Amino acid sequence: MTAAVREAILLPVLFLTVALLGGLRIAEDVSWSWQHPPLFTLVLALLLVGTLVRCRAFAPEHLMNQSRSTPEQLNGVVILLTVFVASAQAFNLVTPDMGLPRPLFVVLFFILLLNTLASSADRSQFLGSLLVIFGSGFVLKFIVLSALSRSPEGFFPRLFQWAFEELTLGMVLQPELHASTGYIAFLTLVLFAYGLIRLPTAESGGTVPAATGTSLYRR
Amino acid sequence: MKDEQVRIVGLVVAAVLTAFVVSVYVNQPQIISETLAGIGLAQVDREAFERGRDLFHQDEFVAARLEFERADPSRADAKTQFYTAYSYYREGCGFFRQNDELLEEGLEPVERAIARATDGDFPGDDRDIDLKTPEALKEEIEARIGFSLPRRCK
Repeated sequence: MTAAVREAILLPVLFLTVALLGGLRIAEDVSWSWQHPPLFTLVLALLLVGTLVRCRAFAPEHLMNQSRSTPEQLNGVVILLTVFVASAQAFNLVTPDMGLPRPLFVVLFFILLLNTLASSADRSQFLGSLLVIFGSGFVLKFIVLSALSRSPEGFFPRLFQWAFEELTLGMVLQPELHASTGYIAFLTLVLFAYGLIRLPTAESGGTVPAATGTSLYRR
Repeated sequence: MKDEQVRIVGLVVAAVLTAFVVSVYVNQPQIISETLAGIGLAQVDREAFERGRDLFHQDEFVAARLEFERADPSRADAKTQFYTAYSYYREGCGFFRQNDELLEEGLEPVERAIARATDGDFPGDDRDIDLKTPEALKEEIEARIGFSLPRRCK
């Protein structure tokens, strides 16, 4: 795959797919809703893109500079914008929809990103850190909270849920989602991670020396 | 294909995809339920429908419509749409006075009911209503709108 295909087609399509699927919620009655990114996800996305650049996992200067032609520069702008929107929707995806967990998750993501930014991690460490952030968010939202919020069958499970709801003042339980939402969310996060891995990095340099054939992209 | 052409094609693809994503978030389409409805497999919450029908029989028309909406969010089930339209008709209808706005609101769901109706949707098991088919209901609503003489509600 050439650099042109990756920059012009693969990365924008990947990130726009994440932007599309990141806000998808399928309710128990199979009704769909598309949640636009809330304001806090834009802040987190900005922080994420900044950290990507800081950790040399993404080099926008190689996508937009004077040595590139106009279509190349426009491709760079598209990648930058789609990375930002996809990041916002990825955070939107793993943040609980309501209740006390929502602000808690936002603060947690914010602190984790700031911590990564301050620790001056390199590319591989940062990508590992992102895996932990999104992976733990996914597990907590789509497995733990989803199981707690699902309507139980049988007397004792109902009693347990009633007691849990009373103890937490109803601030933890989430709207019930269709089982397919979790699978789509997982696929979306995988696509997002793959897109981040395929971004041009600072370490790989801005030109392609003819002798070595070094690519902008990590192989 | 040359790199320059690939890049231009990529820009066009990105623009089209972006427009699609924005339109999805703006219009909130119900892709699955609309597709299922299109092939006659609309999913209806029967419990919500029965609750709505009970409320309809108690003349609680607004609450009944909320239950019908819950039962058929994609507005694709002929029977639910029929009862939704009937609730507008009953609420807007009166022997001496009537509310034409409510009657007109009933036209949209009754047309959906006509469009989606299949044999067996309206077996006439509801003794509380005189108009047993969406066609009859539509005819009655249209005859009512703008009619000022006293007339019995069906």
